[in-house]
Amino acid sequence: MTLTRVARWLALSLAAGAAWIGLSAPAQAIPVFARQTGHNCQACHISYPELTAYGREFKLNGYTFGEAQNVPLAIALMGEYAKIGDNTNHATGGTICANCSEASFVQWSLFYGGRITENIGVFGQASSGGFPLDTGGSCCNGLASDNTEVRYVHRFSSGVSTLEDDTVVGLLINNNASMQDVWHSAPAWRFPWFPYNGTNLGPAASTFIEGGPNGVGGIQAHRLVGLGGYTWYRKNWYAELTLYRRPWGGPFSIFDYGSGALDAVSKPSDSIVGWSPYYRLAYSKDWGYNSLELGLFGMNGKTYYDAVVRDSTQVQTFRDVALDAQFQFNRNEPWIYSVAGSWIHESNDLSPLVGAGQASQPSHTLNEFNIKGTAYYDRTYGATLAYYQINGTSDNILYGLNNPAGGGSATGSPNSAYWMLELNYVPIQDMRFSLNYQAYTKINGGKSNFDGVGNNASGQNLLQFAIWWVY
Amino acid sequence: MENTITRIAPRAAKVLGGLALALMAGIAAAADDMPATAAAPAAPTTQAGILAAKLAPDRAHKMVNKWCSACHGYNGISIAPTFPVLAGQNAEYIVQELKYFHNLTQDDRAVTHESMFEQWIINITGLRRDYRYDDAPRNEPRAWDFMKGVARDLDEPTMQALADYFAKQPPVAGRPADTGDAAKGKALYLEGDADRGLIACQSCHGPDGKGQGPIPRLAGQHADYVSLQLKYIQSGIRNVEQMQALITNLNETDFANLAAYVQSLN
Repeated sequence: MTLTRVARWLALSLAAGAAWIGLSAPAQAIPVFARQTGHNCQACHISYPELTAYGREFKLNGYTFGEAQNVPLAIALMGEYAKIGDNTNHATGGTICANCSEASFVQWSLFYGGRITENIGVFGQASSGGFPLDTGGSCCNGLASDNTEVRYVHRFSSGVSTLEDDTVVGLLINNNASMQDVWHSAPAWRFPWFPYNGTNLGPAASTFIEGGPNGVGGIQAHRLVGLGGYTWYRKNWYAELTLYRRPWGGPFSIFDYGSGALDAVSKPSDSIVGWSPYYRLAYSKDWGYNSLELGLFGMNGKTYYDAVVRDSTQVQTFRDVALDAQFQFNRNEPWIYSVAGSWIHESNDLSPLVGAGQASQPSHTLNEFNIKGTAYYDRTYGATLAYYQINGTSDNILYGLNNPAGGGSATGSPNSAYWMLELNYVPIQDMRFSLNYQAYTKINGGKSNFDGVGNNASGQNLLQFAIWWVY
Repeated sequence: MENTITRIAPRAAKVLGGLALALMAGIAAAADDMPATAAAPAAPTTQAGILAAKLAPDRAHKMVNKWCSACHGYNGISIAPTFPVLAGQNAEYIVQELKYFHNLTQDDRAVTHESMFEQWIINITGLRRDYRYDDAPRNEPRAWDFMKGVARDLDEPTMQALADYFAKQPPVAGRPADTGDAAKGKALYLEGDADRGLIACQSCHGPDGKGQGPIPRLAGQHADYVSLQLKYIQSGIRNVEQMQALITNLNETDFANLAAYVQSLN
């Protein structure tokens, strides 16, 4: 049986299971945190993983509400079907999206942890099946650490008989910059909320913090270790500093478990130079059913271009700083609305790339803007519209001027823009059906023949149908 | 016979479980098994009961600090109308509601009706689903989302200590509401409407909206919360039999007017 057939079989089983549960006994869900707290998913989530005000409290208090469970486990299964606008790469004649036009079992995840003690909590996730994607691993390679975090929290409050407004102070260790954030404007938990696996010749550029060239969000997510501290003051102010570095071994290997061999070549995070600071400041205000957040975050990073040589002439530097905002209206009788967005500005120095003939000039700037709006009706029907835009310094080599493999740029520009519309149906709280459409209006500076070798932006549009189920 | 056993067995299990927990962890959890008298809790007679009563204020304090305050505020004054104001609420009412939430959980746990697929998963993983949202009425989300879990592991002395804590907090000041006509609400609240067969709310909740004993204080409560509760009670989603019969003839406008009025009370 080929892998494709295995994937198809799994996807079909998942769909059948979904139908069975959906039609027979309306059931309720829930992974570790819900079992621990006795809450429904909707107490903390508008729709997984988007957090409500109470969900933010739960996370900032270190996942410690409720009672520790004897078997703190949960599983999630994800399957999808993808279609691409034009699956022919007009530069090479090959196909662009290998996963398209067939059902695929995208991923399964194991969640573990929750409350350990009154002050310590764990968010643990390990995933498999096409993950991690960047190793190009075949379907169903072993489990690898996904977003994983341990928190220690302490609450300060004055008075004994009468409590007063408080401060939460926390320490954390995790393996993905911004996974600790409780708003949905930072990269780790930004929309879309499904590991869609339809591939296309999309934008060539993305910022460091989102996982650009040697970025932390993509290539190095789950392959680094961050040590940080934060404070949540009177439910109004959030301040955090976390330092990321290449993983240690020993007990810390849980944070990069399964993500590749322990050598510099196959493990790109080994290219991180020293400690990379990630910082976050946010102001939050709740009134009535409304919650507003305004903030900034950023990360300074250095990586070795050549992780084997590892000398100072090989160092690339990235400086990312972002402004972000989020608004939620969560009355839920019957409507919930939310809006979130961020604007990330990056300046980088890629001198080693110039030396290696992979960039025309050392310095670049890159701006990424994203915004999404979501509405849910009666917790069951949801719609999200999102817009993304990338603008930056042109570089003929870096962004692949007329790259014969396709997917480069006809002008050397990284400028791109696209829309995403997603419709959701949540028949029971542990299952979500999604129909997601991505429409590209500009890729790498162009629309028609954007890469100079025959591919069109609209040809990269993706339509994806997904099932997400958690137990 | 069988009926008696089914009634006694869970209770015996609870007693045994509670005692074991109290002995093992030194934390009393057996207070559940005390006779449930609504007004004054009977003085504990067992070792575990005495211990539970002693530990309750401390447990309640920690619980407020950590969990209750996340939604209801430290001082019992919540921000979002999703969550009721508890400051100055009658302790007896709070205990009554906590018991209701607690028992929601217990009843819920006694029910198993997984599908075959679920049974299969349970057999493989050993994980049972404790809580079933969709068995609950679709439109009473708050109790099921939040409180059944919070009250799940509470014993009676802790419930009492929590109630005492919130009852002691200074009540919130009255404030005008965004919707509803408070003047019309006032008339209905104080005088009722004989033509429509509506008795005055004040006959139970008091002229100043302070309630008494198991009848909740309404003064200063979030208008939208009150309005939704009236809707739930009228439709039977929230089961308050004494009241459901009395408000059959209220309409949505009345809900908003009454809610606006009680929110304006100090």
